[in-house]
Amino acid sequence: MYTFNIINKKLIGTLLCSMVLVNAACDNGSNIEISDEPDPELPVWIDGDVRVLTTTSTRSQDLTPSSIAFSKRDNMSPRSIYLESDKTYQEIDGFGAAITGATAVNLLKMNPADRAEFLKETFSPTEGYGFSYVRICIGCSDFSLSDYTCCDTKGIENFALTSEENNYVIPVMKEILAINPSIKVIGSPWTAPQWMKVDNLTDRKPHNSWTGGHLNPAYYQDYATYFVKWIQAMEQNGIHIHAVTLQNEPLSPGNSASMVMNWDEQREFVKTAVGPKFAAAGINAKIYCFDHNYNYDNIEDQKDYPLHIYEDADAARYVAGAAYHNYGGRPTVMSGVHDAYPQKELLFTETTAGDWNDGSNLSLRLVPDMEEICLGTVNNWARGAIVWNLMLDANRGPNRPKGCTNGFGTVDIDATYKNITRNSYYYIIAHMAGVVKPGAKRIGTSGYTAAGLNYAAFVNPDGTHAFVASNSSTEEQKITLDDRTHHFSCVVPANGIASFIW
Amino acid sequence: MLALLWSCNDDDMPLGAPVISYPDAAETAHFGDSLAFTVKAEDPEVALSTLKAQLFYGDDMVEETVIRTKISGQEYTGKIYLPYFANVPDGTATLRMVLQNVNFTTTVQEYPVKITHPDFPYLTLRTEDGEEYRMDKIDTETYGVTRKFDQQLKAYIIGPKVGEFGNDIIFGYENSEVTVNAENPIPFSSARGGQFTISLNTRTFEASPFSTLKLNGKELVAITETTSSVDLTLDKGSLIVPEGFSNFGEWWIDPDWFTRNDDGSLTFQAMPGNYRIIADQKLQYFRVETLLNGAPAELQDDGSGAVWVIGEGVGKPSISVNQVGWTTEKALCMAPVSDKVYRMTLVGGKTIATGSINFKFYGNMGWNYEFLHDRITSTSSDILIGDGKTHDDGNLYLADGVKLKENVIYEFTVDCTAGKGKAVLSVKEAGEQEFEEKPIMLNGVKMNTSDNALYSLTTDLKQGASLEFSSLSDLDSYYLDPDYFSYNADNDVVTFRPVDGHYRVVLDKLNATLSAQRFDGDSPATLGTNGHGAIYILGWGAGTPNLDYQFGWEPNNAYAMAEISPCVYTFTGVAGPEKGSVTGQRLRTDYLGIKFFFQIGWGGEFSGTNQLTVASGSKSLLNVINTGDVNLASGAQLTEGATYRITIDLSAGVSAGVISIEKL
Repeated sequence: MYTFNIINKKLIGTLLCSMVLVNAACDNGSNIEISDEPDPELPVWIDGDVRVLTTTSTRSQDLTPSSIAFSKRDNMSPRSIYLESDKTYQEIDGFGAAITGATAVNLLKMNPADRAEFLKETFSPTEGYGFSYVRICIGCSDFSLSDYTCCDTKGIENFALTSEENNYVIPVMKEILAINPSIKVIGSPWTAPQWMKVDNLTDRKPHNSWTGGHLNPAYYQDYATYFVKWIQAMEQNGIHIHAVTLQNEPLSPGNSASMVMNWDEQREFVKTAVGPKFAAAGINAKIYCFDHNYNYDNIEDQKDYPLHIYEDADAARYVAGAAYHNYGGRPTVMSGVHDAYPQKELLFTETTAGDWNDGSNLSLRLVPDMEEICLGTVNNWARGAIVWNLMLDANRGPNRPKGCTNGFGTVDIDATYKNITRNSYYYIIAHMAGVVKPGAKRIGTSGYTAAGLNYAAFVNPDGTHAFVASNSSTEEQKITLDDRTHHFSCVVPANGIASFIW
Repeated sequence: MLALLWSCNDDDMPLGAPVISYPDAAETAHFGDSLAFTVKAEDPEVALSTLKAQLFYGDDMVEETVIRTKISGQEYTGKIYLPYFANVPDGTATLRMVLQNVNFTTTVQEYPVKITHPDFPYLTLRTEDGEEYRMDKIDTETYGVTRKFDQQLKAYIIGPKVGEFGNDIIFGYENSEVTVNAENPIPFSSARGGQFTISLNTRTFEASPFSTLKLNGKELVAITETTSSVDLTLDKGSLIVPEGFSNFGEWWIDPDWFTRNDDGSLTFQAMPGNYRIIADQKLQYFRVETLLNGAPAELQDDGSGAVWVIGEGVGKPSISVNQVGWTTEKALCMAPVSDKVYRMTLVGGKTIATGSINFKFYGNMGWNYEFLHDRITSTSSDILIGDGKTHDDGNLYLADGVKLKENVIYEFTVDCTAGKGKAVLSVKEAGEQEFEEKPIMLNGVKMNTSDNALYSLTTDLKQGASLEFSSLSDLDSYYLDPDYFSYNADNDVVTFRPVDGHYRVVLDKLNATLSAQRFDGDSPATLGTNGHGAIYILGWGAGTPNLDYQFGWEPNNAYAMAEISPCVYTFTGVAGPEKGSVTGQRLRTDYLGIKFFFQIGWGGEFSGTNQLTVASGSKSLLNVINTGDVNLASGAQLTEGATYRITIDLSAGVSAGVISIEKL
């Protein structure tokens, strides 16, 4: 059994007691083994009218399950939050993390039983937290084992999945799909094959680099075929591709692998190549444009990137919506995009914790991350939120030169591949995915508000209600949730987050 | 009722058995009550300690009262307050009585109390100054008072005691919310001063108005009912972010001072310095004044400071609504575009008259320093500076035969770099401004406007015709002249009331009024010898839409009475005070001195042989002097708030008019 690093002193005391007992019987050299004891970290949902998960920034509550009974009294609480099911917003696709090459490698270094347990706990909608969306890379990223695409030899006929897909990502994805067959998968490329890239669109000189460059319009059709072949290859491996973005961070020529694709390029690419090719091949994967920062990297002529594409009806008809990252700007930008084109979808596809934001310090990150990455996105029309690497190792990798070397995973695993530390992203995604199911609709709320209290409410496809809240204040927030049929009193702890489903 | 008994002590000392007896438990109460209770507490074995009365709204304990219970078998009385929160529905709360003895044995009994909102007969608005105004119920659980208030008003709202256990309920303000029993008054503020409604919903605590105007986070301070200002230090290119302005997208933005950005902010265009930004919410534009030492700047000898414009044929946001004239308070400050160089951008027909101009440059917001002809020269051959002989000294005028062009942009630049006594005026055309008309259609016909504020259409109308205005969503908030129009809010249709004829319908968006006037071709109608046409009122004691706009004796202010049936004309108004009247109060309670004319201004009128006599039933209120001057009868007063209709009946001919007044 793998273990989580526990910060809570009381819990450590309990575990140390257990360890003494276990060490006598089992000399396996691991830090903590408590296989004979009920694991307090397992996501055991406690049955009741309302099932609850609670986490505090101190881990005094650590995805702690509990239950609450519906109140039998008239609800006259002045701290009532009413769920308004008749006011619906966007449908929810899911919440999850990226299965990068690095993540796949790390997972495969765990012993199979530990990995199975971790994946079940993470992805199982019935026995775990039900992570429901993953992002995988089309070719390399800054967290892959090498720089590559699936067609590095010139000629689209040379397309083939590589060892990184075949030996790492696909095997892990198969294990995840066995646990959660309905999980959604979105693919994103970091770069086109080098032979398709040019320095600029005027001179169109070859750009023999993994970073920067532009897609040569002469290869729009071939690159579209590349997408088709990749999707088909994944399908052949049993991995249904729900959606793709056309270019990860298209405004950035940096990264260890990258390619610039301004909105006019992406508009032409989707309109003349990818869209028609998907249609011809019978591929129904959604196409999300952009896939970059809220602030458009402050590039004046790239502001409102998706809107320029939507303005062209011939391009817009192939585009489901736009995807965003949070390395610049605020999620409220998505509401502006929604207001301009309400029929188009929005999806949050990437954020990374790292040294730059003290990303492994749960006491600092838990509530702000919940506020921005989960509540901030869904309350600004995102259909889901996907964070970056699900798992990184003790060396913050594996990663690529010039890529990110000081990031944290959603969880980090130590050098023994036994001990896992959940970072804030794991908690916030678990709190969302645990109660908000794919197909849910975000609904309106009314009533009590308080400084530091943020929340969102949903109705799941099975009719259950979900409510997720964060509390940045130093006092617990006692609230009453009322769906107009049932109500109950509950607590969102100080500097903590809580999820409810009933 | 639920009863429980427990103790946390299992030693040998006696547990005792506290007993609560509360036979007269109240079953109903109101939010805000102080619920009195009398409870008999006894324990035959162990001395009692305390009785706690705890009130639960749902599962939340919202109030607790603790009473020392020294003597067993005694009745204890107390009161527990039933908190009155916003948005809490009527329901059954739980009053829990907890009786504990000194050995910590506790008996708990719960009593349901059905709590409802008090149905106040009225509320009272009490200002910080102690003024009180009655707020009547204007909707379910909503109370309001409409009158002239200061733009910013701090006040409490008090609900009178309701029911057996009732208290006066004081609505105040705490943590930016209306709250019962808050210490601070509610800081009402209206985006526009003058008449507005203060309201409160006693269930949701939604109150209005709360309108704070800010620029770059600094709150504007009221100057008049419709204007407020803030002083800012600005650079060329400074961003100005407005907050709290209603309908800001419709505001006119003076290009000399600002450009408007897509996000609603403004970018300052003039030279760095200190400026007073004055928000005029009636005219919906910002007036800007250059400041020096915190006051409107004066021109210095070296040409620095500010240049001001006073006179005729110029006005912002348009000459039609705000011509400067010779009112110094309306002087326009020119924008400094470089050191000692000042500019004013005007548009022909919009902000500068095209046929005739007569304005002048000044060195202050008054008469202290005039740019006479020996202090300023013009490089323009079309716009000249009067030499004091053929034209007033220093006044600008158009050269003979010159007319400015409609919609052409004219940049007036005054260069004072050589000193304030050697200024040079240059005028250049800077393109043409396309007027972006926001059309309003009346029954499918586009109304005329040159400023998107004042719309008019002269057309034939039939009595009882429905008037439908397109692109006007807030017609229900307009004041419709009641002699010309009636309004059905259900279908948003206006019905025309006077007899068939040719009329000019005038819709004033700035003042939110709809009025009309009989026309004969392109000219205002006159009263024909057959008694048809129009009768015009001038004089004091009457005005429209309120008594701030009494007609006086200025012909341009003459009011055209509606011919409501053949040869019968009416003027209807609510009686009100001369000062502080509200819209619709068109007749003074205490004074009337008006005359009736056959045209706009003097000429034909009711006097001499064209007699006007008072109908017999109206002599207690009206008196006619010299066969035409109409006053209130001696000692007569109109009742404030009552509606009166003055009717002139010419059925017997123009020479035998009968005037009457009726209280509706």
